[in-house]
Amino acid sequence: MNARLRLFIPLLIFAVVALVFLTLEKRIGSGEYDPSNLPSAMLGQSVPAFNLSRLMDAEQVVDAEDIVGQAALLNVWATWCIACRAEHAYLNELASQGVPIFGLNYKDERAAAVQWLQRLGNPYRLNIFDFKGSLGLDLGVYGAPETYVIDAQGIIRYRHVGILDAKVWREKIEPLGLQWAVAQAQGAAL
Amino acid sequence: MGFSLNANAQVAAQGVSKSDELRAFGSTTMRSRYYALINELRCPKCQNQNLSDSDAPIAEDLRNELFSLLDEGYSDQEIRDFMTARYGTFVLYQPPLTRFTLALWLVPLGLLLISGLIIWRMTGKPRGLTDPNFEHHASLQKVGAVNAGIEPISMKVDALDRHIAELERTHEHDK
Repeated sequence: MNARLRLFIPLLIFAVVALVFLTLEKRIGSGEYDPSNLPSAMLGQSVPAFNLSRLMDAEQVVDAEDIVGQAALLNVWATWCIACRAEHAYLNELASQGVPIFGLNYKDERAAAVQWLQRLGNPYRLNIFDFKGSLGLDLGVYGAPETYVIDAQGIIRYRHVGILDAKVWREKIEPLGLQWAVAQAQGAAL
Repeated sequence: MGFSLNANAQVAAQGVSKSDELRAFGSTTMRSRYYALINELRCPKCQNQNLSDSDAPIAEDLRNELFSLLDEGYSDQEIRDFMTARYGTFVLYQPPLTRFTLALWLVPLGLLLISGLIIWRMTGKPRGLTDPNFEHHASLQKVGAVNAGIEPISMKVDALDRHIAELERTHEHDK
């Protein structure tokens, strides 16, 4: 009987492997797990120093101090990025609720980007014009859209790759426990 | 033309994009370090390609960055550190041994050990003696003993075959 049972070992191994792949497939299907979603190496670190121009005004310089000071989102976007177009309406909604959003216009053309904001609305407190992608490189950006959650001390707390929507906000960003309510008051004052 | 036919063939074989040919390397060492690194570093966007294979914009940016870092005199390790500081250990095709990559390093060793064990068990001893299923069968044990060379082989091969066939028949009846 023992030898008989032993014949089932390959089947057992198959079942285990099949189960592993099936659960993985299920988690990918539900969006719970995305193999192309890399963990950011920048988590827990400060926003890297940079010195770039504003999207709206090429003469005006922006640096890290301009965006640090309250819990905020740093959204990486570009007009060539189709998913950014899909994300834009939700950013507008967040902005109208008083969530501070800074834009990192990534490897884009200035005129096209300005036109985009005029047409679709501007959810950004200010936009950093990163033509060469240098700040993007320092942040570890590997595509657009990406959204970094920065706390009041300027520490990167979370990075979301892909479209930011209500589900991501509810399940990933809200649990960070940052004080968006304070930001809301500031937003009202601005 | 600065390139020999051979060098061009080599470049084509490595899948190096045209812009790589146009880079002004300060020295041949720098050139070979550049090619070694773009083959060793992984593109963060297109997951199973290295920087030299990938056509993604980010891979091109990283190749440019790599080139300027080499130009500025960074060492190979400093460049690896620069990349991992931004993109994580994912960009290294040779992952360091950490608690997250432990399984990656240990599983192949474990599989090697297990398969070695299986092969050792399969070839080490004659089946008749080790398989407990057959141990209750006294006469078959004798065959096993004959096979193991404990007793001198007195039966001719065809006689042994007949004996085994008979045993199998009686074994069938047992069940």
